[in-house]
Formats: sequence, C-alpha cells, structure tokens
Amino acid sequence: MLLLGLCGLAFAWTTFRRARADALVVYCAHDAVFAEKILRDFERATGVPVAVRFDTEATKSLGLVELLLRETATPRCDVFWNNEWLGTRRLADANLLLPYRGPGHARIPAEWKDAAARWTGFAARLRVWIVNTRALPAFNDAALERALAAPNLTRVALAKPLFGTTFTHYTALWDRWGPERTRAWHRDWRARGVTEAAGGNAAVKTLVASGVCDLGLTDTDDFFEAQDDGAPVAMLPVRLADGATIVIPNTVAILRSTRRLAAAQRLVDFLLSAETELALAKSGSRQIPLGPVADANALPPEVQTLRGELTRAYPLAQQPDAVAEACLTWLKAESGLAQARR
Amino acid sequence: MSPYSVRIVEKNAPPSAWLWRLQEIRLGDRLRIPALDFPADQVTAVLGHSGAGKTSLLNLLVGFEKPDAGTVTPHPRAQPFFWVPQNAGLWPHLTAREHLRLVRGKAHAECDAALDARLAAFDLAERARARPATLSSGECARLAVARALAFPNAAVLVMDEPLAHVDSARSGSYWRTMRGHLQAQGTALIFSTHSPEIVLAEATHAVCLQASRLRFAGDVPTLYQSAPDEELANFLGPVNWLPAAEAARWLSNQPTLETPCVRPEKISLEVADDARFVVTATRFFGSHAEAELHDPATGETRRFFHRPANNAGLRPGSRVRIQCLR
Amino acid sequence: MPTAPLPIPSLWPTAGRALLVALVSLGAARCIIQARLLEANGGRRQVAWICLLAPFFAPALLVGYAFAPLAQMLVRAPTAQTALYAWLLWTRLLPVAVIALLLAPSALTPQGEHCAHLLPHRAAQKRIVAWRLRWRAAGPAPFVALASVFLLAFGEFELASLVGVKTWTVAIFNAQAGGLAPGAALRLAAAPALLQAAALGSVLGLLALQSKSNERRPILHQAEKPSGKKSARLSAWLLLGASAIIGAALPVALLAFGAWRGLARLTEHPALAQEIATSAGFAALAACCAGWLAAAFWQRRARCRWCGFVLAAPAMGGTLLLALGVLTLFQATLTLGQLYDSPLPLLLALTWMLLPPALLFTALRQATRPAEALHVAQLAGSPPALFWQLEGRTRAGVVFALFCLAYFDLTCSSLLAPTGLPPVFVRLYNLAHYGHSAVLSAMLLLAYLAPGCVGLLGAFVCQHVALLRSDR
Repeated sequence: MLLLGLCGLAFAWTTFRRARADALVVYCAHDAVFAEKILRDFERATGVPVAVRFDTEATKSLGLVELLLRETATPRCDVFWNNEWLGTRRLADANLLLPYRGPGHARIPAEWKDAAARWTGFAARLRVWIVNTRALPAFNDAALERALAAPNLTRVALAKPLFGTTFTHYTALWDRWGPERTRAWHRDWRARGVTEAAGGNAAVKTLVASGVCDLGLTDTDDFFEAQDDGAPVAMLPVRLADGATIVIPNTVAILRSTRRLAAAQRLVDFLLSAETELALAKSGSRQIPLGPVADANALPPEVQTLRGELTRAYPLAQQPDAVAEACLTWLKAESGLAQARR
Repeated sequence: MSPYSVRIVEKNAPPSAWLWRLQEIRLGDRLRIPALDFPADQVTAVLGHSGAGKTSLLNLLVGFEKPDAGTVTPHPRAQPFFWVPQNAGLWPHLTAREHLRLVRGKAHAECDAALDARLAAFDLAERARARPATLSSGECARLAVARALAFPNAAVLVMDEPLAHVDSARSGSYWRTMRGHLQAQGTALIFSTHSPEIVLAEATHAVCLQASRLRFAGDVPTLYQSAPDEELANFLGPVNWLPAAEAARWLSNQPTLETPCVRPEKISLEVADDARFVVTATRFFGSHAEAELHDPATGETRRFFHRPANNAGLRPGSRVRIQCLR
Repeated sequence: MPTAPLPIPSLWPTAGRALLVALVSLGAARCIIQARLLEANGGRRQVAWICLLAPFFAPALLVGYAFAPLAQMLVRAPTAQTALYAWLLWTRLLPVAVIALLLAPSALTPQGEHCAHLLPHRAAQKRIVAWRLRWRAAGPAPFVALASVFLLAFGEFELASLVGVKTWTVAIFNAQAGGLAPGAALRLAAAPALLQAAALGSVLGLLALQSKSNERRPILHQAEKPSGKKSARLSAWLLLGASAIIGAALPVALLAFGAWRGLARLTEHPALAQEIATSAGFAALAACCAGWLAAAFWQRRARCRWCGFVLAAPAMGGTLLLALGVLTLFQATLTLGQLYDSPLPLLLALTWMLLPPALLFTALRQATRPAEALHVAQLAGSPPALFWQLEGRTRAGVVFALFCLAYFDLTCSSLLAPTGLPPVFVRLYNLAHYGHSAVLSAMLLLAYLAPGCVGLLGAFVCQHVALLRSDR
C-alpha cells in the first residue's frame, strides 16, 4: 500500500512539478464545465500550462475572492477569472490587481471594464425569472406580478443572497430602491415563506425544472441548461423599476503578485478575444458577448435576442462602492439573525 | 468406526421416574437424539469427546437453547432447577458473597457468616468480597458451584464440566461437599465431564454422546463392565478389548469371557522365563499401568492395561504370561 | 471588509439531531449484537459484516448525489428533509456504534443472564434483577458508542451540504467562505467545539476507569453460535439490510444506472485519471502514516496509548474544523506559510483525520490478532505466506479501509489541496451541484470504483510477494 501510495503521489507530484514550473495559476469562479474547455484551448494554442482552482458551487466566486484576500501574504494566483464583477471590484479596491490594457481590453466597451484597466468584463449573463410552464403556462409580466403578490411564496425560489449573482441582484435593488425598501422587500418575501435554495442558482433551476417550485430567480446559463435538458421552463428577464435588466459579466484580472506576467497577459487577451466570447456564446451557458463579433449570425438565436438587452442594462460599473459594502453588511447580519430565530 | 448402537436401559421405566424427556431432538448439526429420558433420583453423567454435543444437550435441558426440531419436556418434579454453565456464568459486578445472597433471595436469606461458610466449603472465604474479574478460572468455577448449591430447594442441578479448572488435589474435597449437600437436600445432579474417575465415583447413570449422536444411556456399572463397544468403554477409562479370538490367543488361563470389555483390574501379568510374550515397553500411571507385549511366534504386538501394586517387576525384555482374573 | 461575528445558527438543532441519531444507532447496534449475526459461522457472518460496513465506506458525495433530487423535492418540507438526512446519517454511523460495543462487550455472558432468569424470584423482580445486571455489567461501551456516534453526527458537514440541511458546520463553512477569516471561524466554532470536547472528555474518562479493570477480550473471540429468538435475528437482518440498501446499494445502483450512457464520453475529460491518481496518492500516504502512528501508539504502554487518543481528539470534531485549523496554521505562520501551496497541508489534515479510525481499527486488530499462533509461527521460522495469512491480510485490510476514508474525503481536499493537484471528488462535488448527468454519473462511478481496483491490485501484489518469498 505504501508502495502504491508513493507511486501515485510520485506520478501526481512529477506532473504537478512539471506543470507548476511554468504553469499559470488561475482561480476560476466560472462554471468548471465550460471554463475548463476554454482554458485547455488556451493551453493548446499557446503552449502555456494552466493550473486551475475552481470553487464550490454553493459559495461561488465569493469563496475565491476571500481566498485571494487572505493569500495576500502568500500569493499563488496569477489570473482571476470571476463569473461576476463585485468581488473583482473588491480586489481592485484592495490594490491586488495589476492594470493591463491589451488588445482584449481595447475590444470591450467602456461600460464593461474598470476605468483604470484593473479588470475587464466579458461574456455576460442576465438575471432572469425561470418559470415552470406546466405550473404557469402563459407567463408574462402581469402573470409575474400576480404570482409575486400571492400571500404564500413557498413555490418561489431564489439562492442565498450572500453569494454570486444573487448578491449582485440585491446590490442593484439597494441602489435603485434604497436600503429601506430593499430590506422591507427581503423581509416580506421571507415572511411569506420564499424558498431559499442552498445550492445556488443551479439549485433554483433544479427546483423549478422539477416542479417543486413554480418560479425562481436565476441566471440565463442555468435557464439554458434546464431547457437543454428538456425541462418545461421559460424565462423572463428581471427588470428593475426603470425597466433596466441586470447584466452580469464575467471579469478577468491579473494579480499584482504574479510572477508570470507575460503568460497572464496572453491569457487575459485570449479570454477577452472575440473567439472566446463566441465559444462561450455557443456553449451550453449561452453567454452574451460584450465586444463586437465578426458575424452576429454565428451567435445562437437566443443569444442574439438577449444581446438586445445590453442596451438597457443597469450600469453596474457605475455602482458606488458603498452600496455593495452596506448591502453585504446588512445581509450578513440578517442571515445570522434569521438563522438564530429558526 | 464400529457401527453405532444405542442401549437404553430404562426405556420401560414408569413415566414419573424421569426428569426430562427428549424426543426427536435436532439442534443444527450439533445434536440429534431420537429419544432420551433423564432418570429421577440419580446422578447422571453426560460423557463425550470435545464437540460431541454435551454442552448443547445440557443447554437444552436448562432452556438456554431451543431445539430446531423435537421436544424437551421437563417433568414437574424437575422444578426448580439451577445451572452451572461451562463458563461459570457469573455476574460481573457482584462480589462472591453477593452472588450467594442474590441466589438465596429474601425468602431464604442468610447472614453473612452463613454465606461465608458456604464459600469456605470451596475455599473462597477469603475472596468473599472479590468480583469475578479478579478471580482465577478455578475460583470462578468454584464460585459457580457454590452459587448453585446455595440455590434453595433445588430439585435438580445441571452442571457443565463443574470444577474443570480446579486442581485435582482439591477437587476431591469439593465433590465430597457437593455429594453431601445433594444427599441432604435430595437434589438430583446432571453433569458433564471428561473425567472417568469422577463418573465412576459420583454418577449412577451415564449418557454417552459421540459425533452429536446418542450412543449410550444406562447405568454406570453396565458401561464400565459391559460396554457395547470399545469406544464406549474408553469413556470410562482404559480397557482391554478382547473378543473371543483375541482372548484365546493372549490369555493363558483361557477364560470364557462374558464380554470383551476387560478392565485393568482384571488383568494380571506374571513374569516367567518360559512365558510366551515379551515385554517391549511399560508405563506406570499410578492407578494403572500399560505394558506393550510382543509375541515372537506370530510377530504380533499388543498393549495391555493392568493394575499392578507397583512398577518394580516388569521390565522390557521380561517374559510374561497374561491371566484374566475372575 | 466587515467581519462581524455571526451567532452560530442551528447549533442546538444539530446537537438534538445528532443525539437522536446516536440513540437510535445504539439501540440498533444492541439489537444486531444480541442477534449475534456478526459472530455466526459461515457465509452469514461475512454477509452481515458487508451489510454493516458498506454504508460507512460509501462516500458522502455518492450518497448526497443519489439523494439530492429527493432532498430538493423536500425543500418545502424541512422536517421531512431533516428526517431524510438523519436517516442517511444513521446508516453511515451504525457501524461505529456496533464496533464500539464489540470492542468492549458486556462482561455479563448470555449464560450469566440465563442464570439470573432461573432465580427463585417473582417475574417482575426477575426483570428488575436482569435489567440491573445488564446495566451494571455493560461497562462504558454504550457510552463510548453513544458519544462516538454523537461526535461524528454533530461534526458532519459534507452530507448536510449536499442534502441542503442547515447545520452549524454548513453555517461555519458559508461564513468562512463569505468573508470570515479561518481564525475567526474557529473562534466562532468555540461553542460546538466545547460541546464536542465535553462528549469526548466523558468518553476518555470512562475508558480510563475501564482500563483499570481486567482486560476483556472482545466478543469476536467467542465462538458462540447464533442464539435467541428468530424474531430478534429477523429484526437484526432487517436493520442491516435497510442500512446497506439505503446507505450503499441504492446510491451505487442509481449511479450505475445513470452512468452507462456517459461512459463513452469519459474521454472528453482526460484530467479525470490524473485527479484519481492524485486522490489515491494522497489517500495512500495518509493511510500509511495514520496506520503507522496508530500502531506505534498501540504498541507502547497504556500512557502512550492515551497520548494517541488525545492527539486524535481534535479530529473527532469533524473534518471541517480540522481543515479550518490546518488552513489557519499554514496561513497564519510565516514558516509554514512557505509550505502553504504544497501537498503538506492536505497530507497533514488527512493523516490527522484518519487517526481516530486508525486507532479504532488497530485496537480491533490487536484484539482479534491470533497472538499465540503468530508466536508459534515465529518460533517455527514459518514462511512469509503464513504470516500473510495470519496477520498480513488483516493489516492490509485496515490500511485499505483508511485509504478509502481518505480517498473519499471532500472537506479537507476542497480547502487544502494545492493548486494543480486537485483531488477528484472536489471537482465532482462542484459538478454534482448542477444535478444529474450521464457523464457525471460515469465520472463518479469510475472515481468510486478506483479504490477497489487499487485494493485488489495491492492485495494481489502483496500475496504474490509473500508467496514468492516463501518459495525461496
């Protein structure tokens, strides 16, 4: 057994050391199913080996952001590929990110990237309502309003607001509604028994697709996964009071502590390229390109439709820093209080 | 192996003369008994090699195990009974004295002095406050027997190899104590043992098991003097098994034997220069001796058990003649 | 970043649930032991042991993956969801209760119990006498079993996270991922840690008292045939069967059913083989280290054995606290910080995690070791093949069992694995949150069967080495 163990570890260690000698360390919050293929394509195209660390689905992105903040003294990450932007902004505010204006950065419109070029957005998704069409066949804004006005919201699902795109959604509400209204809305929904799914947006998708819940808040990539599985689902973009949609881009940034700057820059440019955005648009996640694409017809029809929502997007990049901080502080306190009462 | 034969001596005894009646018993592969009665007012010894089924049989009597088939019927006169299992079955948190006190119960309670006297009969008085975990195997065995004797008004005691771990120097006195108690109380005893001496000294009735089957059930003298076959005879110690042809060949005084079963005390070896047989080896066991004899005329060699006063006269190379005493 | 400490949610519900699981496990364990299925002769004994141990060795990810759809359907019925989780927990922890009772059996033999039944008392008094006898003779084993199951149930994290049940471990993990530094998370876990320390301390104290009395050989040495009522044996078989089916057979069957369509697509995931090798490498090293440590402690005097138990105590608080502790250690100290991204943190955590079961298996192995037969073999200069038969197979089995426990670990691996050496179940755990898919089922099946192949290969090699050495 010792012999086998040593053999196994020797195999892994030699692979590890060979890879780590010049491997680019990437922390990736994007769904591993889709991200891995992109990163392997980069390896094949450039010959630069990549060592990836993914995060758990339930705590997505926030766990990696916290890890990067904690590893300030012992950094190991070169490039951070986040599936949303708030956490990346926190890292920028903590002066952990290195500005980079490469060809990829130039390609992306200004509203989707940091003014100081510390991070750049790409391949976005929308916050949407996912609905089970067997429970709610004719679903439109009016039907949504009726459903949400019901005294019992147990058949409505959303993910924990502390993490990921649900948290981004909350910050948008906090910004547009103000703290009081947001707090009231949150407490009202909980009082009416809204179902909080522990497994993130994917769990919301599963609850609605399986018919356990009729309606839920999730992202477009989760919706398309359910649709591709043949589930009876439809979607409706989430709109704020002024009709704005909540568009959440992936973001990529280079860590200031990187020791492989050239390779990191190559990866950033690769991820921000039209080819990568097209690949992500064609993948099961149907991510929406933010930069120009050579042939819009090459995009899947549903992505072409969603692309039209970009012009009505809530301006995330202009959200004041204090909004997210205040919202998070309140959510943490609220979550502890709610659980203590349970 | 000789064909099995079952000899049931008391099958025509009146129904009330039995304590337990077993019929068509089957207990897995461990025991098969077509019919067996344990007689009342007797001391019954259960004999057999290891794995023959002795413990299983006693477990059936006391209700510790249930047969897979057949019936075990206790007679009312077998109640109440108590049991000494092979592993003593002591109660680990009770002291030796507390064992006896619990068995006596409130109705037959005795003072500490009386309980200690019971313990003293088995040399356990100084261990009255000891718990089983601190007792030796022999002390545990003695305590188990003392506990059984303390059981008030027992009609029957069932003991599985009682005092097996006790040194032979002292076991005689313990058996005397048991005998006295049983006679005074009118209690029957059923016990299993490997010791022929104990059976001969204490038992009046014997049940022999072999390979999970019943081989013999009858009185001890019959088993000792007229065992149906050599294997059964060996249960009660060494035996010279001499069918007629063998007897004619080896015995010089040509007796007419009623049974091939000739015990050592019936054999005498006379040293004589003109005797036919030559001694090739001898061993002295105290209660009996073993001599290996060779017949130069036929080339045969055979072992004889006899009971000399001492081992002085017989040496390898001596010539002897064999006589069967009446 | 604000790091205001959170109150520990779900602490007392978790404790209550853990206590309930422990009590039910103890009752079921007593039922199984009294039916003596695990000591029967022949094939029934092996079947009983397989049924008992199978759920313990079915990884939490496998069970969670299989039951996640059902758990999600119960999301609006929290009581039913909690009951499902408790049931799954019970199947996994029943073997712990059984083995704890087997290691320190009651000194009251069945014969002693029957003698009490023969006493000349009234029926009611006989029952009281019998109950008192059983209670006084039971010794610390029931408390050890109760506390062991309680500790493991209380500190459980992976299954709770997969099934979606709120426990203090899940709350701590989320708080840590949500911004609470590991050190602060550990401080937050002080209350549950105190509860666990109390349970563990009481167990160690009882064991200390017990060790002063004569050593009892465990029940496994008694070649007693199954006895007792048929209904008792039937109940025991039902318990074992239910545990094995729910805890192991059903998840594996669901996995296999969904996996066959995805087997062909495994070539799309070339990294899977490397991840399996990584997990196997870490697991094998950790198992060898823990096994060696446990044997080293056990061969020393009683005082050293107690040191072993004390060293293993923190691991009884669950893998989450252990992993957070090791993470804090390597992030907070300058010297160890250099080794933060090396395999050492994970190896240390896995070895530590394996120490309690390693000590338990070593105790069991020592108790059932044929000491006299081994000594005779040594005196006779017997060939290695004989030693392999007498002792080597059991030792290999213990190491293999530890290997499986480390191989299937999720919590330590997800928190401590170095970048570029991802253990297989971390990635599969992430993918499992997307729900069932054929290729994921195939990946899980392959990852699950890998230890079996390693074990078979190892046994084959060891056996043939022993035979070859014997032939020389």
